[in-house]
Amino acid sequence: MLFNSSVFIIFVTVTFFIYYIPQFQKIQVPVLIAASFIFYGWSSPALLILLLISILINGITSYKVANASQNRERFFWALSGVVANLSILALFKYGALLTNLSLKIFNASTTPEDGLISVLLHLPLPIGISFYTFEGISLVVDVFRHQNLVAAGTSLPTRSFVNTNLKNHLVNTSFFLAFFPQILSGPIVRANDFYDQVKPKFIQSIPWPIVFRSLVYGYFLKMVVADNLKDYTFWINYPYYQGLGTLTNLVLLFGYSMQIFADFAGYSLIAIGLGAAFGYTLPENFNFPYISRSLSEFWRRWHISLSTWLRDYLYIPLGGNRKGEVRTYINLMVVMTLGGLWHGAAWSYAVWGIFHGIGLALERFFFGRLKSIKKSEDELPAWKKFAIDSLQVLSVFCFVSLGWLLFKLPRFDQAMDFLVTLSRNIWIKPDFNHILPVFIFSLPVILYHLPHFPTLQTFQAQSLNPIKRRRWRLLEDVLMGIMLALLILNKGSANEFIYFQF
Amino acid sequence: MSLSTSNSKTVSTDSTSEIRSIYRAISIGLLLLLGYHVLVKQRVVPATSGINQAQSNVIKAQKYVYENPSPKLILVGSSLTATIKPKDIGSHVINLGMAGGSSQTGLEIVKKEKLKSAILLVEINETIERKLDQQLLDSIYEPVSHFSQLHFPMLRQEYKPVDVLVQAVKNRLKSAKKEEKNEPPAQAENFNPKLREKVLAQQISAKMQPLSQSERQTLKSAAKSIKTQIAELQKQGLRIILYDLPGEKQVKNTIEEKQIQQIMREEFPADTYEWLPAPAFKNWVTSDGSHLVSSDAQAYAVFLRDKLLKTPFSVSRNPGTTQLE
Repeated sequence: MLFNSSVFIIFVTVTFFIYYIPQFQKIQVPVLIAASFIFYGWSSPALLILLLISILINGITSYKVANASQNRERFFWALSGVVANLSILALFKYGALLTNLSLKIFNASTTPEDGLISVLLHLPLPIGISFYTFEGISLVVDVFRHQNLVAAGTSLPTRSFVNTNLKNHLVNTSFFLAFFPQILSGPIVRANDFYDQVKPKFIQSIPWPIVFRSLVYGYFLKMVVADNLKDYTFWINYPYYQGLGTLTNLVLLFGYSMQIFADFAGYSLIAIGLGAAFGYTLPENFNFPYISRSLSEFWRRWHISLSTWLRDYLYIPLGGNRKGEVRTYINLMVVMTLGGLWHGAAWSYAVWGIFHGIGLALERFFFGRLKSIKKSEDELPAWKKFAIDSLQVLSVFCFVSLGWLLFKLPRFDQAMDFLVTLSRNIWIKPDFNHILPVFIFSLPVILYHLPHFPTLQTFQAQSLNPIKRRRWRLLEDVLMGIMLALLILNKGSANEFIYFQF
Repeated sequence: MSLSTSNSKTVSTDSTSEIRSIYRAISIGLLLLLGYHVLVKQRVVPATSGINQAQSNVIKAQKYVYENPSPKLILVGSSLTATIKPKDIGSHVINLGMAGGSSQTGLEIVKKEKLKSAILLVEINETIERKLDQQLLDSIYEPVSHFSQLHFPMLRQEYKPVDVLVQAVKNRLKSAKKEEKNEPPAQAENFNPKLREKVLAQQISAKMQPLSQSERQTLKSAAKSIKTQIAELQKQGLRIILYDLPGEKQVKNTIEEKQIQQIMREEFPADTYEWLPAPAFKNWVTSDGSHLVSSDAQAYAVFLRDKLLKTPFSVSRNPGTTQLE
């Protein structure tokens, strides 16, 4: 069930009205759990079995962690929960990749495929598994950390969110993992942030401005920008790019950067809007990533829920930047490579992660040395500051766009061939039938980022006087009106979200 | 100035100005829709032919479905058929050749429109293995879409604001070029000579391999579907003529191509199906090994006009339009 399908609109409307019937207030959570199961199992009910297994594993292990009396017992249950989560993810997501790798290492024949090998090579990838598995791990680890603080007698940051009754805790866990706005593509919610929100909701408490703005921006980015751009970025696929000129291919690649942002940020905004409509706050996932002046800033702005998850549950436990310079670089590489592999069971994703890891390590190395000799930015004249900012933003954008090529062409040899084609096809004239529409459909993304461009950031609505603020509000309303009209007049053909494949 | 949507900010939900702001945005949206509807109805907004191949396919289908034409001849097929301009054949001709698609989609549209009498020219070659474009059909025949597009032309593909804008910019650039040169441009060919040689060589070497068993099976099952569609259309009273477009001699003589032609002759025998005879021999030129260059597409359109619309066409017992030497 796609967010942009008419079936989904009907589904949400019906769920919304049932959810807010006053007589149903006591069963709001079960209503949303049932709706989420219907949503998740809509196209493939068999997937529900895996989701239910995941719910049971995470519900039981986190409950055991919360109620364990001894450290060793607590650690055992926490470790069991994490290992079980990772095993499920490894089996379904990396089963085929690891089986192929093993067959190559042991030089085994793959034909005819034996029973088990055949099963492993052809396991389906359950949609959303990467997201709800990470949420499950966050649940077990958060409970474990909390209980450790309790055992150490530290003053508690929050009360434990694990219900004392196992049945109630399982219900809450079902809700946490299956909540339909975010189950397929995030944002990856933290147990710490979610469980405390589970309480009766009232229709008069709905933050309509947030719901409205998130949904309009989200649907606009997805249906008008991403779904239209896909018809042009399609030509980056093998072998079509071979017939296009260098400039055309570059524009298409930048167009793909815009598309992947519009697609995923659009999904996240729709999820946030839907969550808010049911009274739940989901974390922000994007913070204008294409105005980043460094790669580390980019990763603070892009897919925030994943990068902070990797930071808190992987990078910091590995030692972060607290164990010396060399170890910091190693940790960065490990985290980025695993972050790459989180996207998919293909070596190109690992290469993408390594590519970003190397970028981050080099940036850290050089920027660390430059900082000491660099003139304070405040001392620079405005035009110079703007020029430096622009150059940095452009460099990061180009680096990131080059990385996206591995998402568009997951076969490494094809990605390399694309780069060779760039140098080979300089003599082919630019194709404005591709360039012009890509530019027009990318414009909303550029305009969306522009007010947050470092040098222009002073021009913020909050810093304006009341009259100017009113004018700005009016302009924003006009923009929203235009977006609404374009949603009806200029939506592209429906297409799955890119991140569904991850 | 912030265009971000954040739900971490505290919001006073009873704030009337916030709610008023939502109403204002919705009102502006509705006003814009109303204005655009009037402009389209008054023909102030020009119709476009689409700015990419997927859109061109949709526009072709929508024009046929919503504009109630009374065609004498309809062509269905793939992008090979799409290269032929209907106006080069004559009036009352419709081309439902779908770039990236096959005859199946066109046949399905014609079937749904319940046309009673016309000649239906069906492209039969390896492209038949491509599946029916269900998404395109749904975008037209899904009840809500069909109703809204029928009564509000602004919702059709040809009136998409961005397409209109792109078309306007392209027209502007074209006329500027013309003025610069101060002469009408010659008929531009739709290919790049350097690239053509490379792609042609690739295509020939790829087609030197014989078809696999599964490829044969795919073609045969696709033929079965098409035969079912043809039978239903014949019941409606349409005259169905099968054809394949001419192409590069070297490509037509490859192993794979010959095998495909053989399968097509077996699946659609000349004693059961009416085939269009091959045009007089000439060195047909393609832009990429498959698609005729503009001038040859025009020449083939003239052949179709002479064969189908000018004189009564008698059935030929020589199937196909192959050019084997």
